[in-house]
Amino acid sequence: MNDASAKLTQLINQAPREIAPQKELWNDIERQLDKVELDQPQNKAQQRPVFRRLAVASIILLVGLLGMNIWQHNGELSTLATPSPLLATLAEIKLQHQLQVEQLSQQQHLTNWQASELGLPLENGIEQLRKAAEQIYQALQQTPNDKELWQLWLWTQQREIELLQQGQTLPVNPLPQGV
Amino acid sequence: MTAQIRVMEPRPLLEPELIDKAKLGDKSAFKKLYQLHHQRVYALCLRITGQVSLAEEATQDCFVRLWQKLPQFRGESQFTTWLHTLSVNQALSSLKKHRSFWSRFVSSDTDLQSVRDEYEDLDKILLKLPERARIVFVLHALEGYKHEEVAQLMGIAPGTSKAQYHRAQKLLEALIEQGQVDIGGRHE
Repeated sequence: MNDASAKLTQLINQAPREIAPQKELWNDIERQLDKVELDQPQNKAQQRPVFRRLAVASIILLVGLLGMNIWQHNGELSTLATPSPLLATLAEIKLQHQLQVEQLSQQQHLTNWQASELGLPLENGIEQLRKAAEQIYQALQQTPNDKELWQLWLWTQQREIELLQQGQTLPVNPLPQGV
Repeated sequence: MTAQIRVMEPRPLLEPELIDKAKLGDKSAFKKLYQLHHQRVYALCLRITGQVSLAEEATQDCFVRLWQKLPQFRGESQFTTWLHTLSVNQALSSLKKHRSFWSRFVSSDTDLQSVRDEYEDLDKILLKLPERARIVFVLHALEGYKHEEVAQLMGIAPGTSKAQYHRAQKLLEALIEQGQVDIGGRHE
């Protein structure tokens, strides 16, 4: 340990633990304590308007949400009350499908595949599809905005056409002319 | 007669009693606590902040904070230890607050001149140290904190604390070699 290091150690050991401030600090501290006490009720008072604002904002939000909900319900009711373009489209598609089925049925008179044993499963399938399509159609009339129902309904129609076309290709003897 | 008067005098309150009274809002009890401890707190604040005006402000802040936090003191540790920790944190906080704005405009040179003849030798040369080195030196060498604790208090790595302490030590030794300190002049 060199001389300076030893001196530093000595200074550390001799360093006073307490030092008196040059000026009296208590008066300022006491003033600040009074201020702290005054501030505390003020803080409570300041919290009230914040709480009020929060309560008012919550009520406005609640009313807004309720209003929006009611408005949406009214929209749905008005949709049901007035014939929507979707319902018209629904009816038109159904009509076109029926026409297509009729055309295919006229061809059935030429092949008469339904009368053969091979055509029986197809005939059952078509019948089930028609029942399902009718139920979906009725559901769509209630909720014409349901996209999944639309897709399912169109699929049943498409499938019915496909099955009818498959029936045409079955290896059955064509009916003799005049029957 | 004098003996009778002495018997009639109320005994001075002990520190735990003062604490209990101050907790309940007794300012005279709190003032007595201040009188008991303010010089220790001021010494700590002066060494950490390195400026008289800032040390005075930090000391006041310490006692205002103590007044606010005193109800939280449950006596699980020594009051002096608890107050010491509170004072270190408050002094560092005051210094940080001050540094962030006022230190851009106010130099500490004036304070250095004013304390040159006022304080003990170590405190004279401590004020010549760079801020971070001084704080690390004060906390580690004078206040007995470990480097890990100093690092946690200052938000630095323990290695940085050790490096700053070494730096402070070398600077102080250089100042002693330059003869800027009269060893033992005041004490012997």
